[in-house]
Amino acid sequence: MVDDSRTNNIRKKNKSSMTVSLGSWFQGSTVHVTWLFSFDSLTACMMVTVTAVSFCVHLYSLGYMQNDPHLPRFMSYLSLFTGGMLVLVAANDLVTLLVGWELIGVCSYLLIGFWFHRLSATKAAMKAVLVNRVSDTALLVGLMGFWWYLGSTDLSLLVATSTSASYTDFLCAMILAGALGKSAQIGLHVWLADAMEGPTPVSALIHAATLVTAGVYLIARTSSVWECSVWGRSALVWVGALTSLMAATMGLVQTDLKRVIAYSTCSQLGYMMVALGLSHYGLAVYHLMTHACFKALLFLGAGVAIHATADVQDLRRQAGGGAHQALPFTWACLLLGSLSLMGWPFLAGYYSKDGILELAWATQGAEGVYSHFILMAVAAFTSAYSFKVLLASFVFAPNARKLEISHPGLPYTMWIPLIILALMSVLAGYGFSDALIGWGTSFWNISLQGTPSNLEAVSSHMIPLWVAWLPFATAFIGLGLAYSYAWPMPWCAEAFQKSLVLFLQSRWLFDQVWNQCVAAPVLNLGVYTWKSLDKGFLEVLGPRGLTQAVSEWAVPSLKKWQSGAVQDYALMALENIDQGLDNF
Amino acid sequence: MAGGVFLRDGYSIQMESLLWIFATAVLAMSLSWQTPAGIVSPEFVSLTLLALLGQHLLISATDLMAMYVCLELQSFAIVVLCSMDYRSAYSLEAGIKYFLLSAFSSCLLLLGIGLIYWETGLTQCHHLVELLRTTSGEPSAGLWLGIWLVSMGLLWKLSAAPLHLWVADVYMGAVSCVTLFLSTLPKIALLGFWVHTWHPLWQSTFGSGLAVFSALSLMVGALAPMAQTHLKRLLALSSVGHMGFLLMPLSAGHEAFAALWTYLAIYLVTNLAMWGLLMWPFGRPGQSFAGPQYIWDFSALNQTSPAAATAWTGALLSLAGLPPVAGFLGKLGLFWWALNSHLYSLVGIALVATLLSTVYYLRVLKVAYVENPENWGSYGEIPPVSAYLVALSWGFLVVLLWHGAPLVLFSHWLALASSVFQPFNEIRRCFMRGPL
Repeated sequence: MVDDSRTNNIRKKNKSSMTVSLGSWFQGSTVHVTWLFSFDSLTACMMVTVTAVSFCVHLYSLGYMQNDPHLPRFMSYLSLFTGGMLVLVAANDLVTLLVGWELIGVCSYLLIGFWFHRLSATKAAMKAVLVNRVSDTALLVGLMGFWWYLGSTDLSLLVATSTSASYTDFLCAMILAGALGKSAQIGLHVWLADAMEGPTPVSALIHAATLVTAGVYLIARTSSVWECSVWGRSALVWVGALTSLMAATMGLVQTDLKRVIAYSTCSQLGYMMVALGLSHYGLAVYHLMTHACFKALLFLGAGVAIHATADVQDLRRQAGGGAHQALPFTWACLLLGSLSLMGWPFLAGYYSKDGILELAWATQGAEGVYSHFILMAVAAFTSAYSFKVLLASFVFAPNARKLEISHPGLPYTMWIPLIILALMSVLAGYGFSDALIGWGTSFWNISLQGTPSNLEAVSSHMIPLWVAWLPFATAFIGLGLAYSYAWPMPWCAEAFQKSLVLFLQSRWLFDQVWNQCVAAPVLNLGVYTWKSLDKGFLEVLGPRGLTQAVSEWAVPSLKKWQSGAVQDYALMALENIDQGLDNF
Repeated sequence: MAGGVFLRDGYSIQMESLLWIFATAVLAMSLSWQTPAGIVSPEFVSLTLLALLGQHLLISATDLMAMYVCLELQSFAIVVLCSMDYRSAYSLEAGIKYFLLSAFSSCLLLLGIGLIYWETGLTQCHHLVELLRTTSGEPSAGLWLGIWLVSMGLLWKLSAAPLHLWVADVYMGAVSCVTLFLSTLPKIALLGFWVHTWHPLWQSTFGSGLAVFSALSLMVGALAPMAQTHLKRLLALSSVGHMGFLLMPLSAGHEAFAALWTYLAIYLVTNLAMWGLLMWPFGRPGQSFAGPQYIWDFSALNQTSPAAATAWTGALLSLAGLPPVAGFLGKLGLFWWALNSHLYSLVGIALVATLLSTVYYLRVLKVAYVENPENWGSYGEIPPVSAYLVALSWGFLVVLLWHGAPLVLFSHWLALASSVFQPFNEIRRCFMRGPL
């Protein structure tokens, strides 16, 4: 073992994890929080994902953002984000994890609002932070719950204990609420689409591969608590499937290239949540890894396509068939990424996505039926909007304005990451499948805890063959849907279809509900408390009251004493002397 | 029995030295200013020396008559000094007001002395102390009334509220060098007398009643200057506040007198610096004055004369009692001893007064440093002696908080040498009196 020159302690324990201790942080009663980073299998998987995608994005940004005058700030934010994410995945304590959690939240704000002179960008950044704040509050309550019920926030405690108690449901609920915001599940997903205001590399890193997966990681990390809570896992399944469906329907009618891919991310996160809820934590992490590859590939490829149409992201104004000739490499990457996303056989996405679908089929009970049905529908929708993007950008008749078509070329800083991600999109699935989700694998060791009765480990491999072929069929169903219904007209001339499309385009009216029912009343309450407390009560007892008393009453009163007449002074002196004598 | 009206002991020697050293600085500064200010007054020095004689003797006085004569000697000299600039109505007003009100208070003081003599047949203060000690069971109304009236006379001279009303007009009207004299030296003399001789008398009769005067002075000194724009009036009323601070240790007990002398010394140095900055010819476009008069005269002082602005900062921060300037040392001692003597409400009032007074001190600095000027004035050439004295004083103020041990020790010595060791002074007095 290499011993660092500083005071780090590197120890190897049980061949299951390495720990690096950077000292103690604070201690209060039974809780002792230390800067201890432990690297076990789960951390290793996450770190590989984070660092690989981060490397690709860093390299890509050098090319994509080369004309941006604030490139140094961008690169430092990217590195800060990566650092925060690594702290999060390597943390051994919930408090330390929270440090990383908040750090990536802050970096998300900084990066989404990178072009801060754009009003829509700053608004989107604010929205991301505020929505995440809501979920962070729940997570904080969950952390306090851990402290209260388990006596410690140390995550290694969870490895050693397993309890079926009344509070596990509460802890799981809080962690779920915490993950709702970060992983853009239904309700707190509203920030993800607007987060596309940030530059494309930001979307690739943060909103495809790393930040949004923090919630998934957290749930996987606390798997031993989830195994004890039936309610928690059911909630995960229902929330995840519903999120998936919602996002997929929204993605169908988007007109912005990046927003489609953002909703696809949201949808795939729902997949991961379902996998977690069905107790196959390893499968969820596996899907996380493969998803990172092809989603980052999609975003970075989309970035090239956007560059080629002078930063116009509107799907209706893409170069169409011309781009097919002009950007063959990009076409190949995007096609590969989309096919991987759809689960085309033996690409990366196939192994993980089909694994989830098969598990859903095999699981007994309502959760299984519900999740399988929903996720299969979502697979069709996914295929539909992926093909829609490809068709609109590369196949249909060109619709871009002539002045907007450009041939910026593809510097090596941009095509090398694409190559890397494309290779991983093809190979990562097959390469990791045996280790991560193979039957009887010892890869996870103790990093993921599972109760044998909860996981349909055996029967998910023994499903009928036609069920296994269904996802493959959805790819073609989606192609047909995309080709026929790429554009709303003419079938939106009917009132019902039109209202449906508008409902989907307004993102299921979630924004309206949040703004009108939550944000506006809260702000009104703030106005009220400001008026009555800040400007009212506290000012009267403070600055305004004091200033008024002094300058409007006390000082003029004293001023009047100095009348300027000698006899007044003499009289006052005499009176005071007499009065004083009387008092004494 | 002849003699015995003055007591020259270690305490009075030191106090008188302090008086004369400070008077030297005051005289030097005043004389060097009078030429550029266009004040020709051959009698200024004689009158000042007469007043100083009165003050010198007052410190050593132990007899009521001696006290009265010394007080009157200095009062008359000051009356003439106040109206020195006979061309200015303000100056004449100041002289007349001081004369009339001083005569009035001296009337009451004499009435008090008369009552005391009527009741007791004594005028020696230490005899009166003994008498009070032995008759503490049956207080005599006449004696108490007499002591009260004499104390009121003394407090009037000290400009303690509610007997402070003359201060604003007199300080404003008198010529600046006279105001400097008036605001510092009589206070040394009177406080020296009070601590030396009078305090036991007051303590046995009205005790901690001085706290009331202290509190009133603090409040007046905190609030009244806020309405002022004329610098000399502002400083006059703020000197009432400082008088309030100086009366705090007198209400706190014997051990607190050390704080009194520390505060007084720092107050004197600060006054020297401040009046040196006010006795500095000042000009506006087309006009020239003997010194700045109003707060707005300091507009853009930092731009026109940064050295003067820095000097003002030091002086004003010291008056406000803010660290890192020496005024804080004075206030620290005062509050410490007042808290030790459990005068919590007085300390509370003092804190509020400090807070409020800081407002108007800093207002001057705000005008000098921060405000956009609407019209400018600028300082002319400073008289050289003033420059040295202002610089020296400013230097002391800046250093004294950090190296205040000599001053604090001296104050402690003074406190110990004053009326605490009465028996010791008694014995000495017997030997000094001689055969008669």
